[in-house]
Amino acid sequence: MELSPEDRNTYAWQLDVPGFGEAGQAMLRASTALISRVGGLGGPLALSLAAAGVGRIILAHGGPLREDDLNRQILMSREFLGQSRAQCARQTLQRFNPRIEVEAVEENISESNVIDLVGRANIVFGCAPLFEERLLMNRECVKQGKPLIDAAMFSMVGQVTTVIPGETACLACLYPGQPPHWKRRFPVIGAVSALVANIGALEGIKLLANMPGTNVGKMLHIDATNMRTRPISIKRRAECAVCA
Amino acid sequence: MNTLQVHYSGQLALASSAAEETVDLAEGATVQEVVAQVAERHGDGFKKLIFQEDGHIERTLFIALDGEQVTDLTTPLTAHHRELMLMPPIAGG
Repeated sequence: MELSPEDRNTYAWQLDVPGFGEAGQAMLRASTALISRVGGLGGPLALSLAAAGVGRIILAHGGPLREDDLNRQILMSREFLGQSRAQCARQTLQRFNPRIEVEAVEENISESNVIDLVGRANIVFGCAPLFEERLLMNRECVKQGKPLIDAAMFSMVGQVTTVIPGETACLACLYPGQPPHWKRRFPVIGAVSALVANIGALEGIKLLANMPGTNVGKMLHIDATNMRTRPISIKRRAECAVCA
Repeated sequence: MNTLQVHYSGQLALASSAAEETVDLAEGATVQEVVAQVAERHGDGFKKLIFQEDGHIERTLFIALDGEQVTDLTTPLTAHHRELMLMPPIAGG
């Protein structure tokens, strides 16, 4: 796919990045990314994908915007309180980059929509606050052979894990079951979410644009208390119920 | 005596008094034994994140040793090892 003159103008500064160039931009343009939830993590992640020019972004997030979302959900705005988070995020992204397509799905990932939504994407980003959703997307990504970037945070730490079905460990290799002690409410400063989100976004951009230096086969642990990152090699489990 | 740095991530860091600490390594100690050893230093909230009700180490606790995921808890620790990370699952978004 050739870039249009408008695309060349919009993305001119990133076309100079070594290993990216027009070929990388064209690959982003032709790609569809599914993002599960567009809150503290998925919001800034979606914004960076939109800025980079990923051609189509599907945002799946149910429920209305609440006041206590606003410390971290940067795609939202106060006048949308009580209204659809997915629609608010879609409008923000579309205003920011009208050259891409943004689809709002006003429901969370579930058994009833996961096959269709994963099926329409080239890459999936897991940013949901519940393991049910993350593990469901992982299962479907493995089944459909779609790359999954799982980004997660808690308080001052974050993790970004890259799952390539058939090649790397999957999320169920790391968490063989529902973690019993995870709670829906977690401590969060928006800047930490955004930090982790942008590492996840960059990982996805690298994968889509076929750039070197991806984190495939690793979980990147980010400790914002001391700004230390640790890449951790992850292993497939021979007995994994999802990918073995 | 050899020592090992043990790092606690996420909920474990909140449940302990420090995000990391140094432990003395007994000769031939395994990952499982060191995890049990550090769990004894902390309160019930910490132990709850480490152990299942049957006393086994929680199967969703992610453990890494010097940048490698540990899947065999009987892995012996040696003087060459530097850092053990205990990471309860996180899904904050």
